[in-house]
Amino acid sequence: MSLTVSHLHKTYGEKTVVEDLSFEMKEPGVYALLGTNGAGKTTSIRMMLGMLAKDGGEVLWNGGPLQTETCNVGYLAEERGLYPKYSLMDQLLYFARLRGVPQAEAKERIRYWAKRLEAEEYLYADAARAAENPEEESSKKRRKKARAFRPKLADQLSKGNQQKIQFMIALISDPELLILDEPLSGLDPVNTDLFKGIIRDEISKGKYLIMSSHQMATVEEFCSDITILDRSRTVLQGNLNEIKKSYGRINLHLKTEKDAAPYIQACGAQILTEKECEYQIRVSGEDQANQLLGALIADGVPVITFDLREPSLHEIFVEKVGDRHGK
Amino acid sequence: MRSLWKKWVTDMGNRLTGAGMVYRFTLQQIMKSKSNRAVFGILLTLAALTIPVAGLFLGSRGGGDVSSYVEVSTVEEYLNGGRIGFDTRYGIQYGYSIVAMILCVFSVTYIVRSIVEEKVSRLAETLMVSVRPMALVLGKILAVMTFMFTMLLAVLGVFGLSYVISGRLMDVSFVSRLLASMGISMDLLHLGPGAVLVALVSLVLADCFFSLLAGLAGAGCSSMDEIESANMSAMMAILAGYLVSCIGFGLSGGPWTIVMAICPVISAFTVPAFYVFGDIGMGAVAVSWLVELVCVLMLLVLSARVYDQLILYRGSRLKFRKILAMGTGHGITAESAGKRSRKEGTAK
Repeated sequence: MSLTVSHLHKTYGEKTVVEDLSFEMKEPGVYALLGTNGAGKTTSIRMMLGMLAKDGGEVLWNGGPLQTETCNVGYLAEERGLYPKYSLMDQLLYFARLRGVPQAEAKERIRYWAKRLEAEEYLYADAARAAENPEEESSKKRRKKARAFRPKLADQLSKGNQQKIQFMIALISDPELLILDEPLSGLDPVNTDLFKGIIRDEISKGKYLIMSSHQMATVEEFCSDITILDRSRTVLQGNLNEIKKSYGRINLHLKTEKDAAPYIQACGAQILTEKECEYQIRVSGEDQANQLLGALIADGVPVITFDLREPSLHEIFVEKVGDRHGK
Repeated sequence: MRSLWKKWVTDMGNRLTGAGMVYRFTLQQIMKSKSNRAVFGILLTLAALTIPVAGLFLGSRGGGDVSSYVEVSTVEEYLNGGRIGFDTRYGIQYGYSIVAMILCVFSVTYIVRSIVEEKVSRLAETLMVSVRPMALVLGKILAVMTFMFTMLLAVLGVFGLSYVISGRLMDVSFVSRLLASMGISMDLLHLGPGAVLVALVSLVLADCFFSLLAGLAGAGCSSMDEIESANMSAMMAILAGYLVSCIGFGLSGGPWTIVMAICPVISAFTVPAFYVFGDIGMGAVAVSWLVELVCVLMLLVLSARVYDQLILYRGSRLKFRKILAMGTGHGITAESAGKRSRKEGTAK
C-alpha cells in the first residue's frame, strides 16, 4: 500500500491556500504536516479526503484515486464535535454504520475502545455504577441502579472526555489510513499519554498515519517524515532524521560551576540563553565545541553538563517559518 | 445527451450514498425526542377523544328532533342551490392551508436547526468522511417528512377509527348534521380517496420543496444565532404561499384559479381544495404536480452544486441570492460570497 499526494493546489478567488503540495508514504508510519496557523494543513487534508474540490493535483491510494468508499479512512478533525443532545452510544453506532461496520462488531469495538480510553462509565451502566460506588452492593440494588442508568449526552462530558469519544469515532472502522488533525490539543497529561499509547499501537499494527500538530515534541516522537508549510507553500520536506543531520550538531547545552561566558565568546560561539552558569549555545560545529571544552578544562572550570546535539524540530520549524515572518 | 444523463445519474448516485443511514438515524432520534413523542401523543389523544367527547354533549341533543335544526342561507345561495357556498369553500380552503402550513413549518424548523447544529458543533467534517453533504441533507429531509406524514396519517386513522367505534356505542349523527350545516356534502364536493391522494401528493411535494429551501438556508449559516434568520427566509416562502392561497381564494375562478394551481409556492395550499370543489380536474392537478416536481429537481441540482462548499463554509450568513449565484457558477465560491456579504454589511 502507498499514499501519493502530488501537486495539490487550491485557490479561493485570487488567494492561493495550498500551492503544489506533494509527498509520498511508501511504507506504513506517521507523516507530519506542520505549519503555522492558516498555512493550508487542514485545507490539504480536506482535499485529500475529497471534502473540498481540488483546483489541481491528485491523491492516490495504492495507485488509484483515494476515495473514502474504497479506502478505510479514520479522521479526527481539528474542529471536533458531537451531537450535544443525542446519546453517545447512538452516535458511536451511527458513525460505525456510516463506515460500514456491522452493528454486532461495532458494539464489540466500542466496548474495546471505551476500555482503552477509560470512557466506559459514560457508555455502560455497569461501569457507571462501578465508578460511582466501587464497593460491593446487593444484587437487587445493582439491578435497580442499572435500570436507572441514563446514557450520557455529549454536552454532559468535559472537553477531554468528548475528545475520547471523537477518537473512538475515528478508530471505530479499524482504518488503514488514519488522519489526525491536532490529536493531542487540549488534553491533560494523563489523557495525552493514553492517546499516545493508542497512536503507538496503531503504528505497530502497520497503519498509515498523517498527523497535523503544533506540538513539535509529539511530532518528533512519532513521525519519520515531515512537510512544513508556510503561507500555502512547502518550505521544508523530507525524512526528519536526515533533515536534522543536515543541520549538524550545533546546539550546545553547557552548565558550569563558574562563569564560562568569556570562554564561549573567546572561541566565537553564540550564547542563546544564559541563566546562573547554564548556557544554551549555538556552535559552528563539533570542532568549535571541542575547542571550548578544551579551554574550560585547561583553566580548571568545573563542567557539570556538556551536551552537544542536533537542532530540535521546534528550532528547525522556527528557523524555517520565522525567517519568512521576519522573526 | 444519453451519456450526459448517465453521468448526472451516476454523480447523483454517488452524492446520495449513505442517505439511507442518515435517514434511519435522524428518524430514530426524532422518535426518541420526548417533546416529539409528547406532541404525537397529544394529537392522537385529541383525535381519539374528539368524537366521543363531542358526542356526549351533542349526540343526544335533538337526536331525532329535526325541527331544532335550521339551515340559514342567503337569497343568492338559495337561488344558486346545488352550488358550493362561499363559506364552505373558505372553510375548507382555510382548514387545509393551516394543516399544510403547520406541516411545512415543522419540517423547515427542524431541518434548519439540525443542519446548523451539525455545522456549529463541528460534526459536519467528521460526517463528510463517510457521507456526502447532499446525502446528509436529503436523509434528514426524508426522515422529518416520514415523521410528519406518519403523524398526519395516524391522526386521521385514529379519528376515523374513533368515529366508527363511537358510532356503535353512541349517537354520532351530529357529525353529518354539522357537515351539512357547513355545506359539506359528498354530492357537491369531490371527497373520497382521490381527494386524499391529491392532498397527500401535494403535501409531499410542497414539504420537499420547502425542506430543500430550508436545507440551503441552514447550510449558509455558521452560528446558532443565525438560525432565526435562516428559519425566517424559509418561513417567508411558506407564509407567502399560505397568504396568497387564503387572500387570493376570494378571487378564484377562471385564469386566476389556474395560476394559483400551477404557481409552485402557492399550489401546495390550493390544489387539493380546488380539486375538492371541482374547480380543476385531474389533468390540471397533474400539471401542477409536474411544475412542483421540476422545481424540486431544480432545487436538488442547486443543492448538489453548492452543499459541499456550504457545509464547510464559516463566515457571515449567506443569503439565498448568493447561494443561487454560487450554484449558477461564475466562479463564485462560498468564501468569496461570504466576503462580499461582510463588505456589504460593513458598508451599511
